[in-house]
Amino acid sequence: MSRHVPESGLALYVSGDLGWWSRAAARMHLNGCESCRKRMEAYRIDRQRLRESAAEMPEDVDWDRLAAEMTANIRVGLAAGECVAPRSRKPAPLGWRPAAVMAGAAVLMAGAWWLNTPPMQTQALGRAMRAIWQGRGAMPRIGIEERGPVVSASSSGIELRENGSALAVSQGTARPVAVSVSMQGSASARYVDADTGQVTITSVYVQ
Amino acid sequence: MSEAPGSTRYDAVPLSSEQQSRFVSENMRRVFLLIYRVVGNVADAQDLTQEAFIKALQRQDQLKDLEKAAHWLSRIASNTAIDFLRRSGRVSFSDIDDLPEYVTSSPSESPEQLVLRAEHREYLEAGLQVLTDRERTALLLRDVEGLPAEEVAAQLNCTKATVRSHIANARVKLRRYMERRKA
Repeated sequence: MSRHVPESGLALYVSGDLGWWSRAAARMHLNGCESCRKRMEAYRIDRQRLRESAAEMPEDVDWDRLAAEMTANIRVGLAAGECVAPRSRKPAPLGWRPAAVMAGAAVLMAGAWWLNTPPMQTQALGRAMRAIWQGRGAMPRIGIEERGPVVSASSSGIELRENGSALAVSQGTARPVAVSVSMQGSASARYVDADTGQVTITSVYVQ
Repeated sequence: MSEAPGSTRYDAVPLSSEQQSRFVSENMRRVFLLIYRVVGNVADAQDLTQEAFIKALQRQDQLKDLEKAAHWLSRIASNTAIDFLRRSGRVSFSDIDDLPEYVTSSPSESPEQLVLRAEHREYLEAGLQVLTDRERTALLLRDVEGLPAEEVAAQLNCTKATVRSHIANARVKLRRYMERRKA
């Protein structure tokens, strides 16, 4: 006959908690050993009685009263917990995708603005920014001479000046009706000939 | 236990106040008895049962699998009881002569059966107090709650081999205690 099953082995055998090999060996031994079978049966009964006993309420407990009391206390505890719980929540951090889209849109708008601004203005802005970057306190004074070609409109017509030379488009005796200057570097004069009533629009663009 | 743990299935958390009430009433007896068997007295078991339910309902967003709500609650209950025993540093040994003697009454059983049954129950109740806290908790979770050894290990935060060792020790100690009492 094989060796008797140890107490711990019998104790685990009754609930199927032995490993496969140990369980098979124990089963084989139990088939032929009355003594081990009796001890194993005692463990099985203990287990069953423990389960039955654990389901029984202690003698001195009035369960209905106790359950009602505990239910009320649990309600109070939960309500008290809600009162002291922090209400404010941390704002959700901005994800990298929305941040990347916003940065891209900003770069696109800045580029579009830069390309649509006349070169003389962007150059002047660039010089001003360089001056600020290099730590010069005052903004540089940009004279007319430094700006390159300048278009101006007056009562006599539209004039283009550059490096001391001027080119004027005169409307003669006609009175100007409207004069407009755009940020793109153009000037327009719209006037009516007093004799013929003809409307003439003159526009001069700086390239 | 006599009640099927967590017979109601919940669709989503957080539970409504009506679902919370049902969750408490369905599981209260089971949780109370589990804690009572671990700590061994009614007053502490009452406090700890309340504490376990409040913890569970306040942390219900941590419950991943709603079908395992009853096991999840058992875990909170057993941890609450173990923490209590650890805090109070209670010694888990009892003197055999100090143990109470009482007899239960049930109309369906003969006086001899009553005496025998009460005797066994008393031995078991007293025998549980001979075990260490972890042995007693492992034994109750395995035999009374019917949890598999893996789940008991998860609840006690130890390995399955340790749980087997706790369970084997607990059953052997309990058996020896019963034999000594009978002798």
